[in-house]
Amino acid sequence: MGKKEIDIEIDRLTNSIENSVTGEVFDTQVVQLRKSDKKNINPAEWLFDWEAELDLSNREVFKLTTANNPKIIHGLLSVEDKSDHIFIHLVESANFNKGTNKMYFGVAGNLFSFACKVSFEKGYEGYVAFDSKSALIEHYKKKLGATHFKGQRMYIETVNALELVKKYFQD
Amino acid sequence: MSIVKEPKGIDFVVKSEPWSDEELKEFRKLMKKRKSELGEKKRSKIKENYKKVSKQPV
Repeated sequence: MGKKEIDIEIDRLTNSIENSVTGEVFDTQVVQLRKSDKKNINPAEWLFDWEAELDLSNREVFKLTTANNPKIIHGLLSVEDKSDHIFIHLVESANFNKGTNKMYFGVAGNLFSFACKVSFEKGYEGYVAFDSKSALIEHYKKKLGATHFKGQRMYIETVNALELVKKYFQD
Repeated sequence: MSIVKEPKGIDFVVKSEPWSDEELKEFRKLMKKRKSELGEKKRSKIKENYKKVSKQPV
């Protein structure tokens, strides 16, 4: 990705997710995936083709796991460095974290927060851009502080990006 | 710290389509405008705040 590589510090960023049944909170980490990690992704368990995503040289793929069980992937994120903002190509929670009976809350929020953090680290002042399904635009505004740009295009700007990062990093 | 929970029955799944050069140009213009509206002082403060947050032990 680009000329400026992401610091190891944010490669191993720790947040948390919450068990939807017990309310128990688990520390998580976001770690970059390499091509050699393809074997750890079972295509049958994911909607998007993450193996193909790992082959794209201009993108970086990250996995979110709990800190004590790094083998179970709770969510995946694909981003591209656009030189002045971070563009989110894909975000997906694992099957067990989807739907009304999702096992853990906070997976996607965690990954969006991470994307904002990457943007700050690269000097892009937190700016993150992505597309939303039409039906989700209002939810992204409300939950992530995202702003509607046009059509399905959305972005998170500096102030709300900081708020999102704070939600996951500040007591 | 808090957790951003998706609304019940909603999954935040993103699959972005590439933005056109024209859209990117427009977006960059918008970012420039927003940064200008925010002002140098506030932008610096946000950067400082970010540094404080990012330095917190996890």
